[in-house]
Amino acid sequence: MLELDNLTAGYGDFLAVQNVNLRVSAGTVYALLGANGAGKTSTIMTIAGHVGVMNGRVLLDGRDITGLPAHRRTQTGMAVAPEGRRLFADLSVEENLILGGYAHARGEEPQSKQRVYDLFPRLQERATQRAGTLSGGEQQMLAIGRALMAKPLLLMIDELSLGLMPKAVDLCYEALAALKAAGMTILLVEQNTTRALEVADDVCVLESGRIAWSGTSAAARGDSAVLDLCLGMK
Amino acid sequence: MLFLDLFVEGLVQGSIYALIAIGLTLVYGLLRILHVAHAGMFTLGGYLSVWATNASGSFVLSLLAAALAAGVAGILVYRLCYRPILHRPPHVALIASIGLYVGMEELFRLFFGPYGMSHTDPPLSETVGFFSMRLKYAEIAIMAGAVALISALAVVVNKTRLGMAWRATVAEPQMALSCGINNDRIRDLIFFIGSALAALAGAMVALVNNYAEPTMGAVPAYKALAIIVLAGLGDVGGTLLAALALGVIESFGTIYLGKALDRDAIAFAFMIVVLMLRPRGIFGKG
Repeated sequence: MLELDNLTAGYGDFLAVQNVNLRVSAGTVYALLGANGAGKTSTIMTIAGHVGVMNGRVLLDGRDITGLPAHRRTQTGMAVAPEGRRLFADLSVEENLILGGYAHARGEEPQSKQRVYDLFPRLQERATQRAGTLSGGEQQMLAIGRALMAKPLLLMIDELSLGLMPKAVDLCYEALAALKAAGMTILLVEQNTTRALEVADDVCVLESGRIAWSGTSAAARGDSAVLDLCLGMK
Repeated sequence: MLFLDLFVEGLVQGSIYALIAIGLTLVYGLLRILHVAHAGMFTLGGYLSVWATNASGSFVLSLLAAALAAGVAGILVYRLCYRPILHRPPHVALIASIGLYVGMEELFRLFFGPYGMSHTDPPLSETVGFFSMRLKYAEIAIMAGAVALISALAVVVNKTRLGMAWRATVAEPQMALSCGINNDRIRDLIFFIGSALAALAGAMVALVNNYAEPTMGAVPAYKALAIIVLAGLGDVGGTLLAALALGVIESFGTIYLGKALDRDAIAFAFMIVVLMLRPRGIFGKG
C-alpha cells in the first residue's frame, strides 16, 4: 500500500528523516513511535508532500509519488489528520468537512458527510459551529472527519490522543477500530505507546530520524527496548 | 440640505476607497504583502476605461475591458513579481511593490502621455434631483456599483466552495493543500478580483473627474493603506466600514476643518487618533 524506500527528507540543512524504509500493507494499522523530535511528524508530512525529499522514494500502491505536489496527493488516495488538528478554525464544522472533500465531485458530498456523521454523531450536532470553538476531542474527530471526506485508502493520523480527555481518546480509538474493520489502511503516530500497540499490526520506532526498531506489535510488546526508545531512554 | 449633500458625497468617495482597499486587504490577508502596486491597477483602470469609452462609445463595455485587463495584469504581477520572492522576508516584497508602482506610473506616462486623458463625451454626466440635492448619474452608479460588487464578493466568499477554499487557504495554507486546494490558483484569483475591483474604482474616479492621469493612484494608494490599517489588516468587513467612514469624515472635514487641515491630511489624522486608542485597528481583536 505505502512504501518508503530509503527516504531522506528535511528542512534546509536539517535532515528530519534519514534513510527510512518502511512498508504498510493494505488494511493494516501501522504505528510510528518514538520520543519527541524523533521524526514521526516529519515522516507523515513528507508522505503528505509538505517536506522536501532529498533522497529516496515514496510509493503509494506501487506508484512513485515522491515529486507530486501536495495538493494533488489527496487524489492518489491519502489524507492526513495532522498534529495539533490544524482545522480551519474560523470555518464551521460543516465547511471543514466540505473542504476535506474538495478534490471530489460536489455530488458525492452529502454521502461522504453522512458517513462522517455516522462515525461521529457529535459533529452533526455541532455542524454549524465554528471549528475553533469545539472541545479538543471534537476537534480531533473533525480532523479525522475532514480527512475521511477525501475518501482515502491511506489515513494518516498524527498524535491521536495528545491532549485529549480519556473519554475522547476512547471515542477516537473506537472510530479507528471501525475504520480498520472497514478495510482502511492507517498510519498512526501516537505518544501513548500502550494504546498504539493495542491497535497496531506493525510498528516502527524512530530515533533521531532513523528507524531504531521495527517489527510486529506483538513482538514490540515483548521487547522492553521499544518502550525505552519511545521514552528516549536508550 | 448641506448635511445630506456632504453625507452622500462622503459615501460616494467612501465606496471608491472601499473598492480599492478590499483588494489590498485580501492580498495582505493571503500573503502578508503590502501590495503598494495595487494603486497602479486603479490608474490602469482609469486609463483603460477612458480610452475604451472614447474608442468604442460604450461605457459599460469599457468597464468590462478595464476590469478584465487589470485582473489579468494582477495575476501577472503575482506570478512575475511576488511569487519568486514569497519565501523572503516581507520587506523584500514591499520594496519590489513600491518599485513596481513607480515603474507603472512611468509606463502610463510613456503609453498615454504626461497630460492625462479625458472622455470626449463624458457618460452619465446628467444630473437628477434627489430630495433637495442634485446628483450626477455617475455618482449614483458608483454607489450602486460598489454595493453590487461588494455584495457579490461577500456571497462568493461566504457561500461558495471557492470562497471556503479561499478562507481555508488564508487560515491554514498547508492543510488547504492537503485537502486538494491549489494555493496558487487561489492567489491568482485574489489578485484577479482585487485588481479588477481597483480598476473599476479607477474607472469611476476617471468618470467623476473626467480625467485619468499617471499619478491618480498615489493619493488613493496611501489612503487605502490607512484604511486597511485602521480596519485591522486582512479584515474585509472592517475595511468596508472604515472606507465608508473615512469618505464621510473627509467630506465633512473639508467643510468644518478645511482651513486647518487639508482633505488628504484628515485620513492620517483619523488614522493616528484611532491607532493611539486601538493599536490593532477599530475592529481588530484584542
